[in-house]
This record gives sequence, structure tokens and C-alpha cells, in this order.
Amino acid sequence: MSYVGKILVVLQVVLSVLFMTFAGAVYAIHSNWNGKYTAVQTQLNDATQQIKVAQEELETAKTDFNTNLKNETERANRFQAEKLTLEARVATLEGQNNTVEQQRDTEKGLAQAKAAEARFRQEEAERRRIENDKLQVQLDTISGENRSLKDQIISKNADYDELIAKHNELLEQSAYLERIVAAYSLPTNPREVAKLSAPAPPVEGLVRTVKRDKTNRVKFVELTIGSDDGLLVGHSMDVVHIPSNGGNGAEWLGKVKVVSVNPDSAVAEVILAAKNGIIQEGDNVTTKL
Amino acid sequence: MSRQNSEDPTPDVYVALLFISVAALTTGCIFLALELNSYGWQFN
Repeated sequence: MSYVGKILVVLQVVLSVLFMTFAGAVYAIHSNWNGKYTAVQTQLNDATQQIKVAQEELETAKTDFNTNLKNETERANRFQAEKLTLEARVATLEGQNNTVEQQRDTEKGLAQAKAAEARFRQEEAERRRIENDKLQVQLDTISGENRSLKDQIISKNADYDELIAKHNELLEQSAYLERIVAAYSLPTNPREVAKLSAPAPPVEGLVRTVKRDKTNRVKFVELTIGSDDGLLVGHSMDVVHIPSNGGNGAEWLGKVKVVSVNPDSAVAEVILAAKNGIIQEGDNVTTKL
Repeated sequence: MSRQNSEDPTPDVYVALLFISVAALTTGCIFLALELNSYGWQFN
């Protein structure tokens, strides 16, 4: 190989190496504009899509906003009306509040009075509790006395039963004696007996009728006075004949004893007759002699 | 011809340099082909 050929070979090697270096550098360093274009186009499409979606959302939001605005406007009007109503109600409630405050003041005064009364009642309760304790002590004492009195009552009841038995026995005796007294036509009323023992009242009357016995002597006389005038069975009276001309020739005719009385009449038995006179209708009877 | 076959020169350093040159050119062509491939083989 000639000298020039050798130089050309060397030069070819050098240039080939430079070519390889530059081609590698271009491949390694050079930007890929096609890839960037595709990426940017993709980003643009995405951005466009997002803008479209955003516009739709904007329209939706605008519609919603208009709807909400309308609703809120209606709501504001309604609230305005409610505000007026509430203001009127507030005015009414303020009036009621004033009334209630007055009532509260009144009730407060009453409550204070009640509290004072409650304190007084509490103090009274304390005093009554103390008195109650004292009364409890007295009650215990009285209970003891009550027990002793009950014992006495039991013993007295026994005595009472005994007295009842004795009383019944006496009643039987009294009934028996009353039958005996009735058999002899004697009064059993203590008042009548007391009147019998008392003197006859000062009364005067007339002989209404006379009844004679078999010997034609006056046996019974009917008088014009009775129990209303104070006569009782057993009273004695004198029979006197007073002349009709009112002279001084009054004549004692006898003594009679009342055997039966009525309110306005009585029957008497002649127990002592005068020898010089005969009892007749119209003669006077008296207890004043 | 027979003279040439019988007298093949012995490969020397310059032949090696030529092989290196061929390899460098091949590599550079591959790099450029890859570059064009990234653009889809479009030239405008």
C-alpha cells in the first residue's frame, strides 16, 4: 500500500469514528419533538375536555345558582313576613313578659312571705317537737297510770258484776214487794207516797152525789174536786153544811177519806159521821179545818 | 488471478483500521436510523 493509501485509511478511520460519535450524540441528546407534540396534543385534548366539563358544570352551577337564588329570595320574603309576625309576637310577648314580671314580683313577695311563714312554722315545729317530747314523757306516765286504772277497772268490773247480781236480786225482791203492795192497793209511786205523807192542800169543793149503804147511811160521796186540785188517795177532808142564806149556822157533818181520784172529781168514803147531821148533795168539803 | 490467490497479503494494522471504520460507520447508521424511527420516518 502506498503512503497516500495509508494516510487515506487513517483519515477514513478518524472520520468514521467522528461520524459514529456525532450520530450517537444526536441520538442521545436530541429531543424527541414528535413525542412532545403527541404529549402536548394529549394534554390539549384533556384540557379541552376539562374546559367542556367545566363549562357544563358552570351551566349547571349557574342553573342551580339561579334556582337557589329564587328559592333564597322566596325564603327571604318568607323570613321577612315571619320577621314581621315575630316582631308583632315579640311585642305581645313583651307585654306578657311585663305582666309575668309583675306576677313574678307578686309571687316573689308571696314566696318571701311563705318563706317567713315556713321559718315560723319550722320554729313552731321545733317548739312542738319539744312539747311533743314532754307530752311523750307525760304519755308514758299516763300510760302507766292507764294500765293501773285498767287494773282497777277490771277489779271494779268484778265488783260491778257482783253489784249487778245483787241488783237483780233486789229487783226480784222489789217486784215481789210491789206485787204484795199492789195486792193491798197501796201506791207504789214514790211521789204519791211522799204526797200522802205530806198534808192535804187547802182546797174546797162540793158534794156532787152521795151513795148510801144498806142501812141508809151515807157510805161514799162524789166530790167536785180531783187530782187537778191536788187531791190524792188517802187525803182526809171535812164535810160542812153552810146554810144557803149565808148565816152563821155552819154545821160540821163528818170526815171523809179519798179513795179514788179523777182529774176533776173524786170519790171519798165517810170515815166519821156527825150524829146530828146528814151529808147531802151540795154540802161543802174542805181541808182547811 | 492465481498469482493473487497464491500471494494473499498478510492482514496488517491498516486492515484492522478499516474494520474499525466499518464498525464505526455501521454504528453511526444505526443511531441515525433510530433517530428517524422516533419521528416515524417522516421528513417534513
